[in-house]
Amino acid sequence: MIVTVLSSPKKEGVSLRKSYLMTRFSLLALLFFANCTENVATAPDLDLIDTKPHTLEVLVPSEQFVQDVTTWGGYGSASDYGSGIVAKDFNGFSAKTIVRFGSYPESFQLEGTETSLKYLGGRVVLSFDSVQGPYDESIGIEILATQNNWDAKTANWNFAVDTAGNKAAWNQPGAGSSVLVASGDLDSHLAGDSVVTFASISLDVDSASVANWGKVGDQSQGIVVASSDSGTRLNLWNASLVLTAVPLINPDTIVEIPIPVSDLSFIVDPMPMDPTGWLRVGGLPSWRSVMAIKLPEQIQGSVEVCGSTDCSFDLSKSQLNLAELILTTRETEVGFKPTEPLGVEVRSVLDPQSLPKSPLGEFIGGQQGVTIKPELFSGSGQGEVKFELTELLKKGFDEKSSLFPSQTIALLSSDEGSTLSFTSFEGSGNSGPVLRLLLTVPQIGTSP
Amino acid sequence: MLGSTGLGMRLEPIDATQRALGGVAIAGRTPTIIPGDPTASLDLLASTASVTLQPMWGSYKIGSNQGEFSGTRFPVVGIAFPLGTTGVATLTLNSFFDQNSSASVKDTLQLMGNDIPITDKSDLLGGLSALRMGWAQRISSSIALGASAGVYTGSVERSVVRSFDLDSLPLVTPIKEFSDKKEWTYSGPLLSINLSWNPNSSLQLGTALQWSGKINMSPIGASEGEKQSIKAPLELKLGGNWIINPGVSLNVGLSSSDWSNSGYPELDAVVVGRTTTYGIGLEWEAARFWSGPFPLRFGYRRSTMPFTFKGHIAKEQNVSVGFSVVVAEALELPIAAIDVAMERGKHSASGLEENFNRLTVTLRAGNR
Repeated sequence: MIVTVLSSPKKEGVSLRKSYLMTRFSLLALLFFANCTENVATAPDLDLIDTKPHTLEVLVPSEQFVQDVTTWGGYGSASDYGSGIVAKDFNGFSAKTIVRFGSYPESFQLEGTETSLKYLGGRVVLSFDSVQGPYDESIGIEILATQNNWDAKTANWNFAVDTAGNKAAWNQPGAGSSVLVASGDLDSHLAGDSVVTFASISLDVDSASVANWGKVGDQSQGIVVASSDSGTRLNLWNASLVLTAVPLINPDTIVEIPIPVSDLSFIVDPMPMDPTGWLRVGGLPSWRSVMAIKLPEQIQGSVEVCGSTDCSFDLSKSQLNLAELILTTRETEVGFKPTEPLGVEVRSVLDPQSLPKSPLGEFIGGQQGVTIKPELFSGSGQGEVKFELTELLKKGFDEKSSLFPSQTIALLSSDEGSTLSFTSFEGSGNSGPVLRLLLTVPQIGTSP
Repeated sequence: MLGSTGLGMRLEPIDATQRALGGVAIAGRTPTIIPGDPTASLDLLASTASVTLQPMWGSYKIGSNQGEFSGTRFPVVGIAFPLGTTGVATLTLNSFFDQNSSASVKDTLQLMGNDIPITDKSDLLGGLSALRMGWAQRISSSIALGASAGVYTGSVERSVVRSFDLDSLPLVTPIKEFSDKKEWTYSGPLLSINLSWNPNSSLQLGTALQWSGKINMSPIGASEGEKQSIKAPLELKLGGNWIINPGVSLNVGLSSSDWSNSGYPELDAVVVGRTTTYGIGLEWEAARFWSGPFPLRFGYRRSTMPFTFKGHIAKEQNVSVGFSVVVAEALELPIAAIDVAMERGKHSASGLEENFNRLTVTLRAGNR
């Protein structure tokens, strides 16, 4: 007899039931872990928790945080402005624009045929806007021939060339010339400082002048645009030379050929003096003010901070909530006073040793800078301007060292290269730079 | 709210069966895992893991301020390993004190010539727990002894944030908020011994004596301060279970400790002194359900918190109801069960009233 032993169906059923129930049990267990959100009861005061932070405002005078202040000029050139300025005795300010024209074409296409040209003469067309001065009166404009080699990038009122290795003065200051090329009257019916409409003047020039301006490589060629009427200031928006010529293959035909400007700059008088003891930002060429600053380790505390009214408080024991550099404006020199709001920004100086050519770092306090109203730079309009330095100075607090690092910052114009105007700030004394700090002192208990 | 004072709110290491019966963590009729009392696991005939989770929610009123709170805790996690039929080893992790609280204050500061609104918020997050190994052994059919040894563990983080609300002052330069955080860890030894005695078949008595070494609080990370120590008190627990009728049993418990003279002035300033917890409960095997008996439990519990709240003694009292469901068994032995307890109670101190609901669920799973 062969007996076959079969596996017990009841035992298999128990095993399956156990597995099924364990799976359901595990899933059931997981459900309880699904909702573990926390909503903590919140007390309305801090008495239960041993903590009382104290926030204080500290004004640090310049002698306690400014290590060095230097104002550097010469950034950019008047030729970067893109247009010229013409002024004569406008509140003591004068300016002339110097222009060099491009090369003349050597040939001309006339009805599909290339031909040489004979230049008969031409005219200079000058377009002005932002006219300031007497209204509804004509303004005398004259153009004179330059008589010195001049460099558009470095020319100023006294020097035609002013580079490190070459300094050459004008025959007469202000690019003075005895060669009057043309003159005329500009109709100044424009209502004041308009940039929408403009006035143009076209001045005929003779063939000799035209021939001089066409000499290739002649660095002395060019014109000086000046006003002959005192009390005027104008913005020369555009200049061009329109040549009158005849093609040699058809002398009966007269053609006009526009010649664009190759160099344009302006020179001013008086030139702003180097600032001594104050800060200057902006202008053209532009000025930048560089400050080396370092937070003091100790400042005067208070009862809440260090237990008495005459105690010193270690700055590194606090947290910095706000740092502001407060500068007081001062009157800007005539001719350079802002007439529109100017932007000033703060950037870190990456290599102070290589100033004025040090690269600049990130913007501090916002890329848009601080926009300052022009009236703060007039005689009676002294005011305060604040620059946020929180991110810059916070690094010293975050490093938890009692020694704050020295930081070098540069104040520069947001409109560098686009305006002759500059801002001026007091550099020392009672109106000198002030650093405002908002600090919070943690007073958490030393135990849980 | 009581988590903000002293070492926080007391979170006793008891599971759902004990919660339902108003127990004080002394072994009862249901074999389970109780930190500090390994005799409670002697009747487990299979290696068993147990986890207890405890969602709690309610409302609070302090002065004119009121709100709601909720949270989930895991007061007990444990494993028990039977050693033959007369012994057991346990490994448990349990909570002791819970330090989760928050405070928020609005104020105004005179700065930079302006009245600047500020909000101060302080948070406390953490707690004190204990990790222990235990052993229990039946000496005779009516007496069992147990002991456990372990260490305190845990940490607490205290943070403060002050923010400057400048929405109403758009011309003021944005002010960065202030934030500070300090963290401490806990450490220290603890020991307990237990005695379980069944004078007759219907009566079970138990006692536990827990000794703690100093609880050390050490600052960590960038937190300043020196290491501090707290002398924790000796804790005595007594409990009993009496079978009144077949299927009906009465459970009573009492525990007592004195937190005075901890050696830590900040704590001594808020301790109550001797605190007592007592509870009473009734268990009734109402029916059979799913895979095993289905006991119903009813309880009442009252305790004094060890630390004052704003200078006043805080008390807790609650009523509870619970049950167990055996969800899996093998060879007619329960190997997986869910114990559930639902409590409704309140915390009270002068000026504070908290009404809470607390659900405790213990999941037990064994393997053989």
